[in-house]
Amino acid sequence: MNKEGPRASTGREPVDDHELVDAARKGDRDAFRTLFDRYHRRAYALAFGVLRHQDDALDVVQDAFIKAHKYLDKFEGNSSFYTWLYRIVMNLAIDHLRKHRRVKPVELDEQKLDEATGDDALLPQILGGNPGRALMDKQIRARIDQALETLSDNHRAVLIMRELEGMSYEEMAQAMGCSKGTIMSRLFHARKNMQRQLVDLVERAPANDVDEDAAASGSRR
Amino acid sequence: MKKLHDIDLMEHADGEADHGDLLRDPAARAKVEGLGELGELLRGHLELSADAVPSARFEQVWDAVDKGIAQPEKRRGVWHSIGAWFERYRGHVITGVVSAGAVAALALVLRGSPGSDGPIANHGTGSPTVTPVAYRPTEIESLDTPGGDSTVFNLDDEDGPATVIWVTPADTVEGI
Repeated sequence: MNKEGPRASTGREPVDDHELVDAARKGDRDAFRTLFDRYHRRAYALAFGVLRHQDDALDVVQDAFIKAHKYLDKFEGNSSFYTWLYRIVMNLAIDHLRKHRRVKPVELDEQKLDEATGDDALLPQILGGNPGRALMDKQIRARIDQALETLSDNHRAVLIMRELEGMSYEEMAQAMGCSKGTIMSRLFHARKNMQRQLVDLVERAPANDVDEDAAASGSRR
Repeated sequence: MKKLHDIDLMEHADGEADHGDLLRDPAARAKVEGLGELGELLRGHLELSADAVPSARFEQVWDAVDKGIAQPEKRRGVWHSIGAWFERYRGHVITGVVSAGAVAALALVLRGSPGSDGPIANHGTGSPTVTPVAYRPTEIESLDTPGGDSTVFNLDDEDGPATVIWVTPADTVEGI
């Protein structure tokens, strides 16, 4: 996610997000464009992780930036602009799930947390500690997509919030309007299920069908 | 010793709780590493998915954002300007309104009872009728006239109010 928009490479000195926000508040459209250039792909990754649909994710990114602009006056600057933006993205993505998706009737988080505490619930390393290399394999990436697809919307949303943005349990509970215990349960089951579905990739970890872009990106990590 | 489970390991791995003692167990350590591996795999995968979207597609998104943020500005117009002015000078406006109210209240108190000759009269039906306030001279009810008698007539006819004072000296013989 290192691609920058056209305005970010004009040779100007990098400007602090807060300065850009101040300028955008005063009606500077270019300043807001720079913020868009900086964060649109990251915002998209978050929305796509939750929604699993490119057009839906792009719609959410679009709405999130419009909403962010509308409420710029309410951005107090206590957190970073992106932290504020990703909350907007996450709320819109969750709203989208509620409005447009069928809720799977039974979710694992409805089980009691105690059921998740078996000694063998989580798996140890499955990719030999080299996920970057595994990502070079198109088939492994397709398997990750499939595995994400099998998760319930709520499990996937929690997993993405945690793994992509590092949100705390409390922050996730607020975003999803549920208890911290429910978040823990969802996260635990989501991770466990992902591991279960990816466990047979262990033998595949050395890439044999290398995606050039992935190889380049993987080497950055 | 309390038995710890994988969910405690997860809490530890996420920095939500400190169960560092668990990591003495190699199996627990491998599970924590497994969680880290899964996280890295997901992050990498989603970032690559985002990179795979053509820049032109995001340009379309920006165009829509640009239109979206331009329209409200156009719609705002005069009312938005008034609102923004009020937001900016809210303190001054409130102070001014309170001061004006206090002055008006003081004026009402000093003017006396409003029931005596208030400007608005309601005649029972229909809209309230506004009666213009006319000048009324001071009404004289009696007059002391040493060495004589006095009579005061207050008249109120279509030409307006008038007062007639009739003084009769004491040595005047009636009829002459």
